[in-house]
Amino acid sequence: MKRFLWIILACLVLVTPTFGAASTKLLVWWMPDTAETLKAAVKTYNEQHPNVNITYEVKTFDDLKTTLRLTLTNNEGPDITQSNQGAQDMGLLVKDGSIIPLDKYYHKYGWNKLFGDALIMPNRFNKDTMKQASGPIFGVSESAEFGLIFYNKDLFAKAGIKETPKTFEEFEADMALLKSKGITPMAYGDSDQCGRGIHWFEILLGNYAPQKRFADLTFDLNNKASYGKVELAAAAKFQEWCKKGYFMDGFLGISSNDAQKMFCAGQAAMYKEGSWGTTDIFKDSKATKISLGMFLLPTKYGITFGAPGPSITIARKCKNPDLAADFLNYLVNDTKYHAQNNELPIAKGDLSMADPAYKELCQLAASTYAKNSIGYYFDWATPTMFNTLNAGLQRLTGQKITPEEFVKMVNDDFAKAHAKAKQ
Amino acid sequence: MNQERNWRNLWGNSLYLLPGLMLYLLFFLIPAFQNMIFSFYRMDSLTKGVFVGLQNYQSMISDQLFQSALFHALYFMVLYATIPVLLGLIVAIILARARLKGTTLLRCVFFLPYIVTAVAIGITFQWVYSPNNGLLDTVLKFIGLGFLRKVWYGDEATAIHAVGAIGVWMTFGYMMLIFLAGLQRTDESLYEAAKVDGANVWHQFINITIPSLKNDITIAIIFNIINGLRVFGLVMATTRGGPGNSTLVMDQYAIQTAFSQGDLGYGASLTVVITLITLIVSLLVMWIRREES
Repeated sequence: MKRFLWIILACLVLVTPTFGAASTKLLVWWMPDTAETLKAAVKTYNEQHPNVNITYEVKTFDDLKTTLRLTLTNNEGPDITQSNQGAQDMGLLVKDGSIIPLDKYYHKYGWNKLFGDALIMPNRFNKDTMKQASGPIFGVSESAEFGLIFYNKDLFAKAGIKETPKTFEEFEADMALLKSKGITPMAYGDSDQCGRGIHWFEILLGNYAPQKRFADLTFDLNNKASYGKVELAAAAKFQEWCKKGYFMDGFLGISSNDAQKMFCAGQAAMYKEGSWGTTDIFKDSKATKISLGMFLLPTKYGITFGAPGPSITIARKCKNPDLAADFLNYLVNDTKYHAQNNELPIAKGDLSMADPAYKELCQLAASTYAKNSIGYYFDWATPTMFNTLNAGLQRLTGQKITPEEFVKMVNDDFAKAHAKAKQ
Repeated sequence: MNQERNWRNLWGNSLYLLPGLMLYLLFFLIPAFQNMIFSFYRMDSLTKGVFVGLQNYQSMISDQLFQSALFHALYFMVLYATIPVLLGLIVAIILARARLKGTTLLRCVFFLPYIVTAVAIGITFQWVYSPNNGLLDTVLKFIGLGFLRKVWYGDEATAIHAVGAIGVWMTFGYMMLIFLAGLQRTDESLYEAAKVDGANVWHQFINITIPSLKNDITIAIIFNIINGLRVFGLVMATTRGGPGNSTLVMDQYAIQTAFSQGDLGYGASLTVVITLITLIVSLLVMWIRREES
C-alpha cells in the first residue's frame, strides 16, 4: 500500500507542468476598455494550461488610481495589473518597490525586438530621479494608440477630392476646398478640456519637429525642456486654421463626444481622433450609413500623438513571476482577440477575425510603429501641464492670446516645475 | 437632589448624542483638522511631507490661477446671494398671497431643480446652450433675436454668466421654500389692517413682508452664499473650468491641485481658505443682521 502511494505521488510530480511547485494561481486587475480581450485571452490560456488558474477583476482607471498602491504595499491585491505610466501612477509603485523590473523578460521573450524605442520608453522608470523614460523597464503594453484622421468619403467626393492628401500642403488645400464648397472641413469640440486640443497641437508639431523633440518635451529628463520656434510655428498654424474656419463653428462650446457624433452624422468631412475611437466611430457611422476612410495626417516628420497602452506590470508579491511573464507574452503576441474586439495590438499577427476597417487601422498602426513616429502626450511633462495646455489652447484657438503668449504660458509651467525639482 | 437628577439626565441624554458626535468627529472634525495641518507642509504623493509654515499661503499671493478662482468664487457668492434670493422672495409672495390655482404643483416645479443633481442639470444644459441648434439659440432666432446668439460655453465673456444662470435656476426654488415657511408665520391680520389704512401692495411689501421675513432673508442669503461656494459639480458638468480657466472655481482648483497635480499641501491650503471665506461671510451677514435689529 505504501509503495502504491509513493508511485502515485511520483506520477503526480511528473505530470506537474513546467511551473511546478510554484503557485499557478494568478489574479489580474484590468481596466474596462480592453476587458473583452483579456477575458478571451484568460479563457484560452487557462484551457491551454490546465494546471494554471488565472482570474481577473475589472477595475476602472479611477479605482486603480485610488486603490492599487495601498493594496500592493499591503501585499494584497493582484499579481498582474495594468497601470498608467507616469510618476503619479506607475512611478509610485516603483518607488514603493511594489512592482518588479521586467528587463530580463524583454530579452527572454524578444519584446525588445518587438517594440521600437518609442514604445518602450514610457514603460521605463528611474526610482532615483522619479523620472519616466529612463531606468529599468517596469511594464509591457499589449496595445498601443496613435492619432489619425477619419474622413467621410462621400463628402470628399462631393468636393471633388479624389484621393487622400499625401503632403501637408495638399491637406491644407483640401481643407480650403471643402470650406469653399460649404462643407465643414474638420469636426472638433473642446468644451470639455479632454485634451483634444493638445492632440491637435502635437499632430501639427509633427510638421515642424522630429520624434526626439517630442520625447524631450514629454519626458524632460534633464529638467531643461521649453517650447521654442517650432512649437511657436505649430501654435500659429493651429490658430490660423481656427481663424480660417476649418474647424466646426462654435467648437469651444461643443464637447469632444458631440463633435464625434456630429462627424458620424455627416456634419463634417473629417475628424481627428486616437485609434481608441475607431470602434465607436465605425459603429456610429454604420448607423448613419456614412462611408468612412482613414489616413495619417501627412506632415514633414510624420509624428502623431500616441503612446503604448497602459503598462502591464508584475507585482512583487506575485509568487510565480515567470508564469506571470509567460501570460504577458501570450497577451502581447496574441492578436486574435485584439482583432475580435477591434483593439489595436502592438504585435503583428493573425487578423483573420477582424473586419476590413480594423485591418486598415492595423496597417496604419504598423507603419507608425515602424517609423518610430509616436509622439506621446505633452501633458505628461509636468503635473500642471494638462491644465496649462488645455486652458492655453482654448485661449489660443479662441483668438484670445497670441502664439507667443501661449508659448510663454507653457514655458512658465516648465520653469515652475524645474524650480520645484531643484528644491 | 434636583441638581443630582439634572446631572444624571444630562449624562443620560448625552449618550444619545454620542453616535452622531463620533461620526462627526471621525468624518469631519478630525479630517478637517488634519487637512489644516497638511496646509503647512509641502506634501505630494511621492515624497515625505516637509514643514514649510505659511509658504503655501504665501504662494497664493502670486498664483494667478488662485486669483482667478477667488474672483470667480466671489462672483458666484454675490450672484447666489442676490438674484435667486430676490427671485425666490417674489415667487413666494405671489404663491402665498395671490391665491393661484395649482399652487402646490408650482411649488414642486420650482423646487425640483434644487434636488436634481448638478451633473444631470449640467448635461441637460449642454443641449440648451449648444452652438449647434441648441434650445436657447433656436428660441432667440425664432423670436427675431438671432443676433444675440453666442457660443455660450465657449466664449470667455459669456461662459461664467451661462453657468451662473443655471445656478440661479437651480437654487431659487429652495429660497422660495424658505420664504414660504416664513410667510406662513406672518399674521394675516397685519395685511388686513394695512389695507384698511390705505396701504398698497408695495407699502405692504416694504412695511410688513420684509420686516417679518428678516430672519428668513438672513438664513437664505447665508445658505445660498454657501451654495455659491459649492458650484464644483455644476462647473465640472458644464465648462470644466474653461474656456481658458474663465470659470475655474476654488473647490475645483483645490481638487485639481491636490489630486491631479499631486500637490496635497497646496490643495489643503486652498480648502482652508474656502472654509475661512465661508465662515467670514456668514459671520458678516449675521453681524449686519444683528446690528439692524
